[in-house]
Amino acid sequence: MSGDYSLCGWRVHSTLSLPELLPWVGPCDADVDVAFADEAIDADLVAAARGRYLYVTDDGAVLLQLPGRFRILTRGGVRVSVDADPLGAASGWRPFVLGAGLYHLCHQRNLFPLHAACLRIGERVVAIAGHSGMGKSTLAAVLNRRGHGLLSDDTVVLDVNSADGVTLLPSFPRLRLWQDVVKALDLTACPAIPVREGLAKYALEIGGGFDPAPMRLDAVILLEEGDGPVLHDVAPTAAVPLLQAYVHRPRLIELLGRQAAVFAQSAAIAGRVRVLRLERPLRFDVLEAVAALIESAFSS
Amino acid sequence: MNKRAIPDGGGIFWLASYPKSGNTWARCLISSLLNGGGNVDLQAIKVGPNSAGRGWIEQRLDINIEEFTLEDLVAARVAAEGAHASVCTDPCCIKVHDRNDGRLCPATLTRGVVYIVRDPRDVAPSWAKHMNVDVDAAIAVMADPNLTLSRLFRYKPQVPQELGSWSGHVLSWLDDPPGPLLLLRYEEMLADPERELMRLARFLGLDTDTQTVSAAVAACRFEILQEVEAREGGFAERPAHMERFFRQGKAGAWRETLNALQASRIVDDHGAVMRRLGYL
Repeated sequence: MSGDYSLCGWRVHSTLSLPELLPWVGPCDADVDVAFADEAIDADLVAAARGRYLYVTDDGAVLLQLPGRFRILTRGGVRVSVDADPLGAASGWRPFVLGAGLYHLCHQRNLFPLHAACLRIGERVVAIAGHSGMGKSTLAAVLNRRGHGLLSDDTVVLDVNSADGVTLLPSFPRLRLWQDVVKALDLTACPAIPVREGLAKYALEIGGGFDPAPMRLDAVILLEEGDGPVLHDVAPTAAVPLLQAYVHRPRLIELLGRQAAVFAQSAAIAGRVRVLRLERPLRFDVLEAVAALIESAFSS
Repeated sequence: MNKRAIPDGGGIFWLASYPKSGNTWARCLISSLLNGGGNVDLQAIKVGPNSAGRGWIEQRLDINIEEFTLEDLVAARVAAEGAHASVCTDPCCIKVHDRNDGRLCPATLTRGVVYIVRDPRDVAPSWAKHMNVDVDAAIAVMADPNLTLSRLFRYKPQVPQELGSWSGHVLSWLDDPPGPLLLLRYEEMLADPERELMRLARFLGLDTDTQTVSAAVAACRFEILQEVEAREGGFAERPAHMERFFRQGKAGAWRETLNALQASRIVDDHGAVMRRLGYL
């Protein structure tokens, strides 16, 4: 079960099977950046959490738990512990480890976890941000089918500390889609693993065009429901609070005391990256038109 | 109005009803009462958040619930209710449209149940408008013992809610409430709102006077709520397809809206419970 994987360019060593991730193909002697481990979580810490679903310790460790199912503890940006008994699919930990676990790691590593999918559209790297249920992954699936490589889904990890712009750290080539979307987009032949038992949602293996190398982010599109489809450019000053609203997740940021850091990172992104609002009806029959609009906005 | 600390545990008043039975009106009345009989902010009725509200649950628990199973969601709702009770001021009210199944509104969190009931013949046309279906479809839905709202909750602002049939809903709350019960009839709230609001205020433990009660009733008259809805650009809880949320607010309007077949179908489906409540 244990193995070495690649995630955001980090070497991940895991005692848990993480089939969503690509295997590590870097140097054998490279240091491990992040460890994922099946291990018990300290009883004092669990007691201190008093059953809360999210608990942050004074030193910035983040505990996420579904009482009676599992606990996931993320510490120092380097270790993710999963405590589930039994550690089978029924406990349901899997989507949370590479979901919340990933954005917990990001905050601890001073990275910016944007609630978005990300693709390469022609020569441009474009993140598509939206709240849950706003159709990020669905639109990403349509764009991918039109030949654009998927770089991340749900959490787009951005390094805003680099000198030459905002750098995307591509995560892994999987798209999480609900069953009805898989059927509507005719993706049933695509290799997929269930996200969790009891949920009609699948992590589809979308290999085409994935590139694990860090790259510069060119644009962020914020998804909105409305008329259209139509794209509006957003001025940098107006973009700052909008970007802040799409970081995973506002209350976590408060508990970690990262409001100032996240504000500064949002301002840095708004100053260096084109930000647009995409207004469109939330319907399947406009998806191709929406994809074409995005393509036309980023054709070189 | 006095604001008192919530007693440890058991602090919640459930504002329970089948949809379109006056729950929102009751929440408006309580809001106004707590505001000394003043106007109600329809964009944010703070009294009685919906226990199935997705944003509310996520805010209360600080997590994203998108990949929760139905079983996880029940536990999450109860945890959110407990978290709400620990921070909300008295009276701590939570709105619920689910039938009472003993899990979502546990006795350990309960201080009382306000159950609001309305003649199902008046519920049907209103429910049809709300669901954007015809009246016959609404009547069928009200007889469905397995009715669940927002089953595909990822596209909805609310998580799934198991309502069951109208009769089953009423009986689940009246016969086995998780705490002391106050039954409010929509028709009596319309006929004598001051008396019914005073009953509600006393049940909630509010020390109020007849003047404040009258002011709250005046602030929440249907025409006023309609006017506020129109003036303030809508009501946050109105479904997108409805022109306005506050439509008629009448009792007995079914005599003009339902045909004889529709009315008798409702009686066939729910006659026993309607008789028990005095609707027949």
